[in-house]
Amino acid sequence: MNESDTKPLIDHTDLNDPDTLRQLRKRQASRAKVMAAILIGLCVLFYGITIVKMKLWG
Amino acid sequence: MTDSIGSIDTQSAGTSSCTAYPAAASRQVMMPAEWRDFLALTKPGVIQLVVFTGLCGLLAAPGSINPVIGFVAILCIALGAGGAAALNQWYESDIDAQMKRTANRPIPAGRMDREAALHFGIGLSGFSVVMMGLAVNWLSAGILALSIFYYAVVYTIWLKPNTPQNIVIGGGAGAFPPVIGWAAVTGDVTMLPILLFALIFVWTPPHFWALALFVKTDYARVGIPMMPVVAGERSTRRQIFGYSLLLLATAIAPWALSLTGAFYGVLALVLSIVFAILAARVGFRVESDPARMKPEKQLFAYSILYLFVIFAALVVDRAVIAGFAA
Repeated sequence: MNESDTKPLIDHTDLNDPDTLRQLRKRQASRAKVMAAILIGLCVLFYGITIVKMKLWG
Repeated sequence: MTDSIGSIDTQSAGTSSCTAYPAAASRQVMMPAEWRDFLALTKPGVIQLVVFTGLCGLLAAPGSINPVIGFVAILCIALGAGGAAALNQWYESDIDAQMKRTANRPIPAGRMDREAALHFGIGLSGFSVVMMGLAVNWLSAGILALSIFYYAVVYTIWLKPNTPQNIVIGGGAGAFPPVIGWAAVTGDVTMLPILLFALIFVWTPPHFWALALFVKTDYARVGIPMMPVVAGERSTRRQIFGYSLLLLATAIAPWALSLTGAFYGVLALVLSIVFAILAARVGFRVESDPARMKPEKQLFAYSILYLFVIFAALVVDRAVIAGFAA
């Protein structure tokens, strides 16, 4: 984790500042990837639960 | 992760949101929190112990459970604990900001807004209970809901700021996981899971008061009535020793009642005697300098190891040794 990752909330941000915008996009991208991983995991889990509940396995 | 991705929250007008248009450049804006901060909000260190004791309750229970359903049960326990922890940090953010140990948490450090933490906590808690009910059974879901309520409301909001017995009564919040794990397999709650509940319940005061002895200045400053602050150090030390004796009796109770074998019983006896000896070192000394609190730190560290080993012994005794014997 580098320093920019744990940077506190910014109160007076100029959205035209390339560094700020880059940090914002980086955070959005990392959150989107984590959310995608969680959703894929839940899909697999719900599929597994359904199979078990239908008594097709176990 | 409840604060919106792809939009920016504005602070200038409360918590309303706007899209990141260049026109909004002069306004005060807030970076969305990192996913790592959401993870930190769940107190992963505490979850480890919660998951472990829940898993032990599940493995020690008679009967069998489908591995997928067992995994879901443990996942729901972890998610529920994480949701309760997020709600706890949401409510205590003002206090956390004033304490050295907690000042770097996501909300007091300014990396996350309180509203996001509240939404995250409620969402995670609700999701875990509903998934537990639908996939496992509604008894375990009900106990999970009770444990979340107990920690987030009874302990955090009611007990902690109002009574020095906060840890004693609030210890119940952390004692539910083995009961939930047991209920996930059997669909009921019998004497052994109740004794496991009692074990964690009695273990919590000496564990936490040992910590409170060497961080007491922080609690005193923010007005949290921890036992060392209210009753004094001498009384707290005596109570730590008293609870260690109670812990010894509780730990060997499953063996005495023939609910476990000798492997667990002997190990529980030895571990609890060591606990009592370490507690006696803390209980009968007079030391108020946090820099010279080595016995207190040793007791705190040992108490964590104690719980891990005693629950592992329970699983070995009931699932492994009993399995071989059968």
